[in-house]
Amino acid sequence: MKNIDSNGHVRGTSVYLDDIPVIQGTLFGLVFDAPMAHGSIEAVDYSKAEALPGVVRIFTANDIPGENQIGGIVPDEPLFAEGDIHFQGQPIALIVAESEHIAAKARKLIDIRIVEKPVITDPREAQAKGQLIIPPRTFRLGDPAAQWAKCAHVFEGRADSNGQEHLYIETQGAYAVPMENGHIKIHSSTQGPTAVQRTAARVLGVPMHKIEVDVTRLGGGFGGKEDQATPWGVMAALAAGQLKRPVKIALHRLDDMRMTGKRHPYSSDYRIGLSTDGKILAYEVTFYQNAGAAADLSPAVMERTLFHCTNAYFIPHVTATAYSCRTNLPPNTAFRGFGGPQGMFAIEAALAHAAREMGIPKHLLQQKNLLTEGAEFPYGQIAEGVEIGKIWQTLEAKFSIEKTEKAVAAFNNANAQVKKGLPCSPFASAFHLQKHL
Amino acid sequence: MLEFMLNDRVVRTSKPSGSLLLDFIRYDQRLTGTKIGCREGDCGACTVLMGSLVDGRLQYHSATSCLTPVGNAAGKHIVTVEGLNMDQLSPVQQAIVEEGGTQCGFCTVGFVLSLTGFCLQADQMANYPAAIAAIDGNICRCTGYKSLERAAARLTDALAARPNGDAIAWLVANQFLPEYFQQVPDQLRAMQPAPASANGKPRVSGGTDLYVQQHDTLVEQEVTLLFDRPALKGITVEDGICTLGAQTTVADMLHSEALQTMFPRLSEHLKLVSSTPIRAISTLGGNFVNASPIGDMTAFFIALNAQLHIDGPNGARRIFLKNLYHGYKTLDLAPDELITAVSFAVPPANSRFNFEKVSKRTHLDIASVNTAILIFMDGNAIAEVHLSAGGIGPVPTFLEKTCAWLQGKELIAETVRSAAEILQTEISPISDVRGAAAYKRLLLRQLFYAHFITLFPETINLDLLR
Amino acid sequence: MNQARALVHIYSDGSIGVSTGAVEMGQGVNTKMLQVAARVFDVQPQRVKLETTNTTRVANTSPSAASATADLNGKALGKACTALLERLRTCAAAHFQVDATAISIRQEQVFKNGTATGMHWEQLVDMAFLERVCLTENGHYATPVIRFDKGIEKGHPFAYHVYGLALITVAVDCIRGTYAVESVKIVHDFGKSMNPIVDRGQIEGGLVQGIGWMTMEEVRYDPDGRLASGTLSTYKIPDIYSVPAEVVIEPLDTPGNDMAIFKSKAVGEPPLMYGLGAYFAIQQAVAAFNPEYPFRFDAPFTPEKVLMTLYPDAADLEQLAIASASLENRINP
Repeated sequence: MKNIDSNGHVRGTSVYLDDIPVIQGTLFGLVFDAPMAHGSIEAVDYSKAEALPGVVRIFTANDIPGENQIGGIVPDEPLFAEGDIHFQGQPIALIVAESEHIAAKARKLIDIRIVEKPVITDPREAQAKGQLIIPPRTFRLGDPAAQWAKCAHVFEGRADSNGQEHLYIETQGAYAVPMENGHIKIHSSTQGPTAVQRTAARVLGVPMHKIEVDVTRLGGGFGGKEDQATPWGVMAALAAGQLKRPVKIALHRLDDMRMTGKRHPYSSDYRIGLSTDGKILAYEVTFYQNAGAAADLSPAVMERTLFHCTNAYFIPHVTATAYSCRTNLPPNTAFRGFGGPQGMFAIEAALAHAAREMGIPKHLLQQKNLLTEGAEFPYGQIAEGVEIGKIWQTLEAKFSIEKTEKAVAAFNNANAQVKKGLPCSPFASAFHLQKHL
Repeated sequence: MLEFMLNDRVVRTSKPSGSLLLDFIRYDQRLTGTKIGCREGDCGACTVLMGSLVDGRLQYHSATSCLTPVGNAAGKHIVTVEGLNMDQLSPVQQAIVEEGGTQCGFCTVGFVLSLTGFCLQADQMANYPAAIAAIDGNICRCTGYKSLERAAARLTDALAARPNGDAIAWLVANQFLPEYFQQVPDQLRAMQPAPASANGKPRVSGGTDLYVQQHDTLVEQEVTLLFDRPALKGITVEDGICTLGAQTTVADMLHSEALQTMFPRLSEHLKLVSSTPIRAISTLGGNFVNASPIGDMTAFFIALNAQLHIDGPNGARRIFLKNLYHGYKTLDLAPDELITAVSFAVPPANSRFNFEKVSKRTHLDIASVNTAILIFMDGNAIAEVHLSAGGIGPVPTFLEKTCAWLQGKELIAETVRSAAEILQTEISPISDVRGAAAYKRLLLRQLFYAHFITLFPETINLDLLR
Repeated sequence: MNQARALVHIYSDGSIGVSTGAVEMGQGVNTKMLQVAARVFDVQPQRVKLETTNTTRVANTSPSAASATADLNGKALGKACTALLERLRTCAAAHFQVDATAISIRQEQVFKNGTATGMHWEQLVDMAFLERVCLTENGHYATPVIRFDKGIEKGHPFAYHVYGLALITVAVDCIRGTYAVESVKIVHDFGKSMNPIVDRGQIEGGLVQGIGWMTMEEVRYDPDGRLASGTLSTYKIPDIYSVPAEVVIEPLDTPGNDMAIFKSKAVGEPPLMYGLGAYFAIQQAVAAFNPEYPFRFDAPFTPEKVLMTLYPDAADLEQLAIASASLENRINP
């Protein structure tokens, strides 16, 4: 059956946040954010912005009746910065005006004085300075330290994978409408309606039943609207509740990109030991997760990296350690794969390294070490219903890795200006884990 | 008062001519099928079709409404998805649905418009590569490109039945378009001619870069519109000189038979320049005046040793394009002067031309480095060279020393290698988001090699240059 | 987490409204939810409407994440629909004076011991309403089995695993340092796919996002922490020309898992991992041109990194320029 939304999508009648008919009297919110990555706010002068005709009010931390706190796992992230700023793009205030255009003009009229502090963007530097979101965690299976001497080959190296911007084509946004008796209805472009509701209640200092969150659909999320859709919903609710007028926030693309976190960049050190015939005997890996300035979902993402650190392979001896490192970047967050791909990148890098040094095709190493039924993962779970062996055979039968490899080699011999490369990319990905513990 | 057709009816607005078509469509007219994704022409979610009468025939092109001043809609037919919807899905809509080409749906309408634009193209363009080219400005993050490719293939097949000639009648008969399209030419003819443009101060051509840089101020004022001035349009060849009006778009170049003959690989070259909806509205004059160090068309025309025709209060004058730039964004052009045209000598038979560009993403991206070359041969000797490059200094650069050194040299690999060393002495790239300085140096060397490998494959290849 | 709820109304005219905690964001979860309801009731899909996700109808939702949305909400919805179906069957059984086990509903028709009774879905619902049967039901589902002890970092945190394998061919232009993914051949473990069209979209989309992450998508911050890639003109994601020319997906029909809805398998996140191959494919191609290239693992493999790796002599170019610049300074002080 076709996607039930597809007719509306091709006719342009599907409703997204910015398509909801606006109620008369609706105001528009625009976020004033930190112009630099780290420092103390000495003074902010809103007077010129407030004086601009059409500006209704500017909300700051002082206007919050409840808690100035939006952290989901760890309470370490204010809705509006107070005192210190920790990343460029950190919200400091919400300008509410008759139009978005006026709010944008007002934003340029705000004077802010900040005493700059040293900026850390590198997770290894953060770790060295003890800047961790949570204590490090280590998964262990067997005893790698006892294996290195027995390994015919041991390779060490570093594998870095960068962040990734979600770039949902619909930017973040929310539309809050005050109802009777202090009830506020928030239309939100969120993957987590309850997170918006819970956090709005906390910030506004009201019970959760006063906040209703409604989501029709999202113009893409990919994890970027799991936790990070929350601040805009909360800000809109805060303003709507106090002004008794509907308030809409639809982030401009540039604001969205600057203010929101992305996939976590990781820097990792690996050490891999193999037998003469290419069996992986031991694997040690240390992950430095670039969490950004606040926890957001980083602890859960880090856990997922550890879960997937051996990908679809069985390795009898494993030590995997992960550090969630606090840096002066926007808090990084969920993104399709949730830390798993970063863990897999490291083991795939280690295998590519080993294959090169040993002078054998990587896919032979991969195939030799595939997970089998009953094997133990480093986190103690016993593998059941393992399909990767069957999948490998199916791929070999349908597409022949060896034949493709020969064709690529022949092409490369014949062509000086274009070269081809061919790798296999296997994975085992797991579902229904406990997170947000 | 601006007047134009929006879908099936005539609309009038007193909004400033510099305000954006996108905002007018979405917020004044509440046609919310057209989406806002980036407001800088890079996602295609706001794509609309713009139709106008060209030699009495209705012609459409796609455009990003986020960069289009509402003034440039005057006298035209603007089509949004609401103007395409019929009781049944159109074959374009149907193909996307059937192939599962829509996931979150936010980009979908842009694809519908672009593919409908493809269906409206001239007969010779009804092929699969053209269908894909039509959606080269639409970003789908979910990302359903493979399904959209399949939808494009279906449409290409369907269009095979379209007879040559009146595309619109056939498209209406086959329910690609609603009935009212048949009446559009008459309605456009009956419309008030567009005002000669207000006396607003900022001059706007296509707006594709201006609205990225100066959005906040432009949208609230009357602007001087240049885009549709007939005197600034047109491509002519006379006495061996090719002259293009300053408001010629990149798409106009692409469709010019004269230019296609002069530059057989023109479509390959221009495919590297932005995207279909942007090429349809971005102008040569705008590109030159914008003075971006990596302006693609600037590099292209510097290598053609092109001249600019400039009009001003003190009369007309001409300068070589390569001399327009004094420094970063400073021009040999007074504020009250206007570039009216660009002209160049038609390259003779003994010459070869090439354009190279590399960016992080090959298409719809800004160059890390671009370069063009026009080279005249005398047997196996290089008679004359015009070489340009962008991204390697504060302005688009004519590489004078390299050109001078190459003159008279024999075309062998050694010559190319030595010239590439001289090249390094007349560039000064900086490190930025488009690449480190060292990369840009290397890249220009490689693209310089690419010129020769491409133009003289019988003599020069990569092995000889390594 | 690991729990979900659904609220189902059968209206007195036989139409059905479904609310769950799932958020539709293009992954097709609403389509799958509709399929669940239509399948359990065995009614036409048009009878079912998916409502917005609203905290007053479904409270305490898990975020739509971790590829588990269809599983969790589908299970909860299945339970609610099953409970309603049981009530309807009981009602019909009373009417036909048989045991409820003798009643079935197939394609909107009521059957008694396998024989059509002539009673239609709409009549059944109308009758149930008049009989004051509750036509609204909540379903609640919590994933069983899973546990994890953080103290020892051991446990059984996952309900099941999904497997896949991709064979990727990349061609690198060794003059310019650009590249194209030519072909991706995938064998993917779908379990019993609930919706092949939706699931194919997830595979192709995840793959392309993964390729983007490994190739052109470069998040850049200046050393002072300012975002340097903060626009669509500086941060590039795949366009239609950057997708692999050929993508072949061979579905591996596996027994599936009871933890997933209708023995399907989660399909949202896994395909992103196929994209990892793009990095290593480019690396192999580069090594074919420059055998001296010392493998480095620093994704994304942008055209810039490719070219610098193809030609490690790039640093000399700068030296050359500096030398000649100083030479010029001496000539023209």
